[in-house]
Amino acid sequence: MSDLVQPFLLYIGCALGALGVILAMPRRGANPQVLGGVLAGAAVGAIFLALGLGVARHAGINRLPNINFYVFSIIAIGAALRVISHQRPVYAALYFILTILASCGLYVVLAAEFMAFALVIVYAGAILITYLFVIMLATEAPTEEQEEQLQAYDRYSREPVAATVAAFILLATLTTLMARGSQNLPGPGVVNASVAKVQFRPGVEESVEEARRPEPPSAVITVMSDRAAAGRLNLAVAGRVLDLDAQSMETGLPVSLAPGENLVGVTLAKISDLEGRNLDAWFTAQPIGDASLLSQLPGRVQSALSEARDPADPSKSLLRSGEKVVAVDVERKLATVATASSSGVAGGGERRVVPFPADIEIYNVEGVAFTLLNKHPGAIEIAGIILLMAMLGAVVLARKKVEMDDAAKLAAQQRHLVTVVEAGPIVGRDRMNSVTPSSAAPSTTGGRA
Amino acid sequence: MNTSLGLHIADFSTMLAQADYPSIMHTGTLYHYLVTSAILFVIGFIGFVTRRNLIIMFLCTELMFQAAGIALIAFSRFHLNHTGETFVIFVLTIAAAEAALALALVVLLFRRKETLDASVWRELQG
Repeated sequence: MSDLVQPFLLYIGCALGALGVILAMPRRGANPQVLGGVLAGAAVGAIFLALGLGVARHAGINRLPNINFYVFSIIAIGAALRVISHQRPVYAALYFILTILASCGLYVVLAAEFMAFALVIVYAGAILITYLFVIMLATEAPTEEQEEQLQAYDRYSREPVAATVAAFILLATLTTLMARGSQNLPGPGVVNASVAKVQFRPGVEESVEEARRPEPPSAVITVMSDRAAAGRLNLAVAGRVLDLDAQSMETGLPVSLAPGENLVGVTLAKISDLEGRNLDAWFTAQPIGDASLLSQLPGRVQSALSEARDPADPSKSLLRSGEKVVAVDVERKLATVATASSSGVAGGGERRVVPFPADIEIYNVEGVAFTLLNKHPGAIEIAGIILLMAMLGAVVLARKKVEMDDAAKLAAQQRHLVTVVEAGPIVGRDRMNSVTPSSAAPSTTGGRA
Repeated sequence: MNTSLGLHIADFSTMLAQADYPSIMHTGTLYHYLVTSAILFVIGFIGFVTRRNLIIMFLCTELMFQAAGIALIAFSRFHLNHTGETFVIFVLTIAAAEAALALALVVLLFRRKETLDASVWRELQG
């Protein structure tokens, strides 16, 4: 905590923010919303300053987020504050669209383009338009006498102080705990038995078997990981845990491997024999990141290869006719291609290794679609059912005939009567009405007239 | 040239550049996004508790969904996989379903009492 964030500045920021939000909430009497907004803005600034200083001191200034992060975050937070503090529901909905657009900016900074555009289309395009329709439907039409008058429940907020204090205590707790927890998070490529489970992939497993054939059953595993240089790695092979320090990582560690063994905790390993000759066999982890996803999409490599021209003979493509990609080595940009065997089995015939273009990459849409369909097919079904049920429910609710209840009818009549009689001084009427904002319910409105 | 923090001025220029996508995101950077998400969530919470207009209250739940979405996308970028992004699709689905049902309910309640004030329904407390 202490090296990632400076708690003092963080809590000052939280307290300042709470004060700002309290002032910005709509209230009766003097309404210092601008002052509240300025205070809340200063609080957000203080929180980000505390974070920025902490992270810059802890990890270096190039670990700070992109400048776009600050722009979009401040727009999103400011617009969100306006959503809850604006007295007119229509403006609140419009400010919510601004929040959506700003968080789409954050999504783009986080390299999630597909979700950013989906959010604009679904949220700003569909959900918020529905909200605007309902705001228009469920608002009393303004009469001639009271054209721009706001409802009492829009003008005053209910218990702003208690709610804001509780919420900002929640914020302080959340940020403290997140700072404590996120420091120990294992990132991608970090060797952690619970995070990465490595399995031999079919195409590569074969080549390991082939390579091992001359002198079974020993091989040397050299761990190739971006974190390998930094510290020690625990490598579990077939239930045994091997402790690799920096030196044994260089020389390699002799282990026995059998086909189908699981290797837990390595993202990428190179296999060489005991004399140190490279056996030219690699295996990679289950997909972490976009590049390793490519190894599961050989068709993508195949289409790129058939489009690429052979540098030796530009009239030919890199992929000859009848050849299919059977294995992809993402790290070295090599693809194993094979022709159909004489018995007609695809990929069973003659094999060769060709480099594939370095610039092919998985698009965000492809990655999301692959993950969605490959890993969460059941969730798609459930989401579809939920949407269907919601649609049915909305139709049933909308068709239901509702009578206005008598008390409400009476209250509405009296409300109209009162507003006609006291068309001018709205503020004065409410001041004599009640003391606390929570007691300004329409039940008291009825008794007033 | 060093600033008082012991940081090079030249490093500021790298701060402005967008980090390449496959490169690993630092936990400090992740924490910034989590804090933004927490602030948005808390603002949505305050709005839900304090505002008395039913429509604004549901708008504030959408704000909280949005905050959860930012946290999910940030974790998705941090772990360099797409699971978080697919979860946002489901959050979006739930938000759409909730908006459809909640807004139908709001219209129903409005027809009954001719007001959007949530405290009119205080009798539901029993």
